Amino acid sequence: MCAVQERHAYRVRIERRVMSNFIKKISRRTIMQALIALPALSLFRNQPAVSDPNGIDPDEIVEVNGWILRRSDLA
Amino acid sequence: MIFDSYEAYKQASFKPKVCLLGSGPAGTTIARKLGAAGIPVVVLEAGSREFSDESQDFYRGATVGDDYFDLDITRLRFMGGSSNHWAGWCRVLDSQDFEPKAWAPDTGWPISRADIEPYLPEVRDILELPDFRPDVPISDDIRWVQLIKSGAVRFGEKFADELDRSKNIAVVLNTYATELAGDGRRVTGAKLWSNGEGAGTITADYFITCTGGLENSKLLLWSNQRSNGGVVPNAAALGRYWMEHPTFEGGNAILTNYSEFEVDASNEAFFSPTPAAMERLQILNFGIRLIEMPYPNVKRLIADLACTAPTMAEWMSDQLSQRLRCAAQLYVAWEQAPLASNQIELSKTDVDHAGVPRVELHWKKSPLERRTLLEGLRLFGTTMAQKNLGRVRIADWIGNGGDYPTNEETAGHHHMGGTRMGTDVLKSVVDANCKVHGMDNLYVGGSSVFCTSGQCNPTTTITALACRLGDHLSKVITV
Repeated sequence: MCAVQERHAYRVRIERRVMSNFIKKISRRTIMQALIALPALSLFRNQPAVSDPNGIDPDEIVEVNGWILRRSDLA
Repeated sequence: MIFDSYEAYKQASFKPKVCLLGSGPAGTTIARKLGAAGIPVVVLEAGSREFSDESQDFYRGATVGDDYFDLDITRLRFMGGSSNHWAGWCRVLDSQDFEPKAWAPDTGWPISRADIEPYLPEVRDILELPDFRPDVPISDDIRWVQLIKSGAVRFGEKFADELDRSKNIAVVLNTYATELAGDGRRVTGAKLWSNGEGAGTITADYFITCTGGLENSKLLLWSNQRSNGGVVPNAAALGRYWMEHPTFEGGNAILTNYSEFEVDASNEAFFSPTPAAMERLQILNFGIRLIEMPYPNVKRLIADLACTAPTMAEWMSDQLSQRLRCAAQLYVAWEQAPLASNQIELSKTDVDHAGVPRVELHWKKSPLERRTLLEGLRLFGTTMAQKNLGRVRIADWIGNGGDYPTNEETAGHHHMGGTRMGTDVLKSVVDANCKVHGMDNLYVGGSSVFCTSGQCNPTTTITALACRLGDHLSKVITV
């Protein structure tokens, strides 16, 4: 397994562990934080930006909860 | 030659042409330049070879305004001065720091960076620095800048033997110039306090005060008061336009590629705005210190998560029996707007052991600086997102307009201004050659002559200006 695949496997394993423990251990506030966080993290798996059929620029810079993001980060 | 008291010095019958006050980076550098030019110079150092509580007590003072450090911990009073606790961070002020900015009143120097650049090779030798490297633009708005973490030369230690061997330099320890006497054209002498008692008056053809970014102003204010304006005839700006580098944690970041920017041994990289971005947004200079936490693999992922979902990340790191922080912290230090109201005054109620009023520092951060902090982080965050280098989160208190935190770095212990350089006698104290306006034989060395602070640590620029002043005086003074 190459390094990239290995890292991906790690991430998947961690995310599964997180999800399985959500209901038992995590507060409502934390779930909200995670919902904000996870789309941003998906960026770093090098997923291509999806072009918006309504003509909204996916590269537009937006500020959300203190984060400076591309609009596509929120897709 | 080094003497432990003024009494011992007097017995040597040394005839100085120049009397220099203070043995920190500026004083020592100027003394070495003058000594090398064959000009006899006496250096009066208020402290001893080592730290002592008794000496340090002279530096107690009061601050009025924003939170600031106790004045006796933010500088050191013994041979080598504040280089004795300097962290060693080195960078010269940027070219644009010397230029006037239409959106920030009272900015601009009477010299440009080109005037000190010829001295940079000498500064590198003195401070033992590697080559300076040019800034690297990462967008139209942001530069990746070099801030050298040097070994922090302690001037007292490094140059003690050289000074001791010198025939042209006499360093007199434990000897404090409490006031200068002047007639409105020339300084005629300095009143001394040595080893706990008055020690008479010293005379010389020239006087240079290099006692630090607070003490230079204090000495001249007190001297001027005692001599009815005979030491600084144009004193409207004396003690004013004092500046620091406010420093606070500005947020954090997740980086796409943690090897994108070469970090130093402390895992830090530095970023500043381009001149065009400063002008467009009408903000001041700033430096963002990005501190990477050196986590590998899955720990890095959890640390990234710690930026956005700290509670979940804390639970995850507990599962790994680790304590992980957000993967990249951002600290911001910024240029202060030069304001006449930020000033050093003489205490009306408190004097030191020699009867000299202590410093009362009036200091506040301005709305322009607050805007610089917020817009600076936005600039950096926008560049990181546009270039897909990472994502930045601005700390809540900055985005929400909250108060400055009281439990953070606060400032850089960098004391600048008070005897600023300029051509307008109402807004400056010294001219482009560091000579006090209206005086024939009084000069000032050190960061108190800074007109603006820029964003970087001042010691490199202090040393360059000291080399320049030493060169200038070597040509002016005839032996």
